[in-house]
Amino acid sequence: MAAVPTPAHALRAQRATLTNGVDLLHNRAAANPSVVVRAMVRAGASRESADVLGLASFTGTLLREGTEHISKEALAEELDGLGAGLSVDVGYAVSVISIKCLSSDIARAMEILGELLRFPAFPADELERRRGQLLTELKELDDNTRVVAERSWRQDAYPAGHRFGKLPVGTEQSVAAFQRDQLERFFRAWYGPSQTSLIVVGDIDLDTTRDLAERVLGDWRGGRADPVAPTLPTTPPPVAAERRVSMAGKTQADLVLGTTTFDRRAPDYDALSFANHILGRIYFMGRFGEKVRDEQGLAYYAYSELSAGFGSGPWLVRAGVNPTNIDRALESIRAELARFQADGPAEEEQVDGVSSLLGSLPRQLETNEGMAAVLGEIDLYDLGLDYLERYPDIIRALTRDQVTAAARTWLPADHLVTTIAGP
Amino acid sequence: MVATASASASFTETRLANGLRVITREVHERPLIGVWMWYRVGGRNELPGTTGISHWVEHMLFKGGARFGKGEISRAISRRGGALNAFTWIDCTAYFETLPADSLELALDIESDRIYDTRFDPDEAEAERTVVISEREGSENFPEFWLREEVQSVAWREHPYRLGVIGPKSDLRAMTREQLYAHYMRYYMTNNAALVIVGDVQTERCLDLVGRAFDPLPPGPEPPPMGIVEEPQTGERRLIVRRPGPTRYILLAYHAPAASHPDAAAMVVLGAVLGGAASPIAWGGARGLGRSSRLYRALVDGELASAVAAGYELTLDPYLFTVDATLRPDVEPQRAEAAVFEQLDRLQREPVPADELTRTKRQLEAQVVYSLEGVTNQGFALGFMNLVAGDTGAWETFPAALQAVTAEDLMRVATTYLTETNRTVGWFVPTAMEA
Repeated sequence: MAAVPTPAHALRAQRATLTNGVDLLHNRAAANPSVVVRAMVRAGASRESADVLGLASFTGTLLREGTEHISKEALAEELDGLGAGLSVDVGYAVSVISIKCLSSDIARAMEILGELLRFPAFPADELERRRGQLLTELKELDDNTRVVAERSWRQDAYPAGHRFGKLPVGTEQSVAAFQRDQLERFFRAWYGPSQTSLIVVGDIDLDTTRDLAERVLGDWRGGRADPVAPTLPTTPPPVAAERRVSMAGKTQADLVLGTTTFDRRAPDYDALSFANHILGRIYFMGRFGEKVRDEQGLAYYAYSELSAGFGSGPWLVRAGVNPTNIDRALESIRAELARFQADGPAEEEQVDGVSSLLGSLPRQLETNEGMAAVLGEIDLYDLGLDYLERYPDIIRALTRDQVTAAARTWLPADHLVTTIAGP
Repeated sequence: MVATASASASFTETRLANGLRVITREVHERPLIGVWMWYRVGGRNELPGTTGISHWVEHMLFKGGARFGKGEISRAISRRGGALNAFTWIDCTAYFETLPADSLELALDIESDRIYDTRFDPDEAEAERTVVISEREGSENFPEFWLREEVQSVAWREHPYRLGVIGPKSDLRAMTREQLYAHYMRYYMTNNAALVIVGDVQTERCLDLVGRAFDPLPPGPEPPPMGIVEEPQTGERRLIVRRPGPTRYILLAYHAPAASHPDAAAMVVLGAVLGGAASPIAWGGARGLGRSSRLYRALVDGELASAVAAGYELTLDPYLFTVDATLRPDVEPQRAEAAVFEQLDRLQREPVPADELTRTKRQLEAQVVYSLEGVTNQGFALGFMNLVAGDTGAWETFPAALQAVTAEDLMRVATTYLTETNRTVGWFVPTAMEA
């Protein structure tokens, strides 16, 4: 373990490995007397087979419903008594179990996290209760135009059976069918030291953190012996398509337009990410925001996002528009994309793109959660603890030609899938 | 020129000769600065016909002034890596910029420009009409929005709080550029605003820069006072919203005291006992707290609802204490409602046990700490408490007052405010389901 010096006010992250192989990333930040402790387990939805959609999500949320030594009620009372927030977020690559607590309570918070990771009980009655709750939540998602638009988009953009073709959360049918032993099997298969990184950010030093982590997780065994990357098969560019989903009682249509791209670790990632910054983020939601909202007044929001993960992740433009404006909005978005692919970023946009990305780093790292998110990305995609030190050079080295070429290569107009969910 | 000044350990407060309140706080952990500009105008200052006007004016303030052309405000902030935004609420309209500390002057330049010189170009006002309508339509896609708007409009007879903030479509379609401009002229002036600056800058230098940017500006005529007072409610009000939707929702609203009322702290604790704690003085905080709260136990663990919340907000005039729940599809609203009433009755009958009260206060203490992470959040807390409590120091004294609330206080406020005659009960029933 070695401390990596980084520029003042950027990350001062350190890495250690517990005796059982758990990767520990730590960053001292004393601005707020609180700590974020995050177990990032490579046990996301990409581990599921097609017949158990949502199993990772269901398993993850059941962790906080009681363990072998602490009942759900006792756990809730203790966490509330500490003023500690426990949350579980399940994505495609990872399930993240986080506790945010006051610095003075870090020892107990770590013990609780260790308990959840090692001794979940999956109580049968809590499983049923959670199932009912989740089925209600799924009904709400079915009624959400944003969610329905993305869900339909994924279905059209990915080959049948590919996990990216469905949202991480399951379906009514899959959730209704889950059995306790399926959860236990999934847990035993994927929760273990080789799949887990522990991220600790806040008002606590590394030695204390490592000692605590070693005490609560050091003798944890289980899961696979070696790390297995949660990488999904790459997919061919989708066939261009447009689909409208009619939903009762809605006034606004949510539209999603985009294509599938590549793995976060692909060589073109930085160039395409920069192109996305200009297209859908910089200034006020980039060129899409400027055109669709500011100039045409068609939408409250219009922006784009690149979610390259472990596999051919999506690039999506999203906008919420009145149904009478759908065609105009789509036309504007497609025209902006075509213009960018023809001419690339303007000189000013290229310069501003660099300064805005670099200038925003202190802001991104201002909170413990912000730092934990950056550390998580660094760890997950193996970017290196010195990533933020190298980042300015990476961004400054991008040329307008590279950025333009990335947009041409990876966002081809003849492979755009469009979905509209609304009235 | 400084007209008045005061200082505490945690911030300084100054009033310029033109009436602008200036609040500063040094925070040096990061090379960042958070700048907030708070105007005392919001839904509370609106009348039927022009409801939503404060919010629309807020949008216009991003369209440039004398020194910034269209699009230049966000460009200038963005190219320095900063963030900016604004929000309109029932009591206020507030703008913020978060920037590298060496860019403080840019934020001051923007705020001192748009306070008096915002362009109200007719074409831009027109383009923004559809943006604001689109913002409303985005909310209309959620059943909870319809229920909340309906309950709000029924809970009051007189007070403009019944009109909300975004405004009905008819007003948004009918309002004119002249009305927007008149509203801006009436409320945007140094003597109706507070500037809050938190971050990595020495106070003396900060005040010097503020003076240079704002001292040359004149005060305006005092905005008209808002004198409407709601008479006490004398009987339960009920409503049902029937629209397409995924499941049933219930929303209970009780008239509750203003932020300046001595009962405000007890109301915050009461909300936390029922539904878990949130910071009353700033946004943000930890997720996943409150799973031991009474309503969570009764409704979520009790398999009646997938989510439940209780809330009380600090406001200038008396506002609402609310309880809302997302019901499981097989649960009738009256069943869930009865389960909520049972918990409210219990609070009136029995003192909250000491261990539960301690747990609740600890949640509040922690949530306040979390919510003050970062310069932008601290600037929010200072400006918000200055506005609603009329006392900037309340950003520290109000959280302290929460810790002094007793079980007897909770019983008293539960008995005083959570009464049948003081409540409005709303149900959202999907058209596909029977009530």
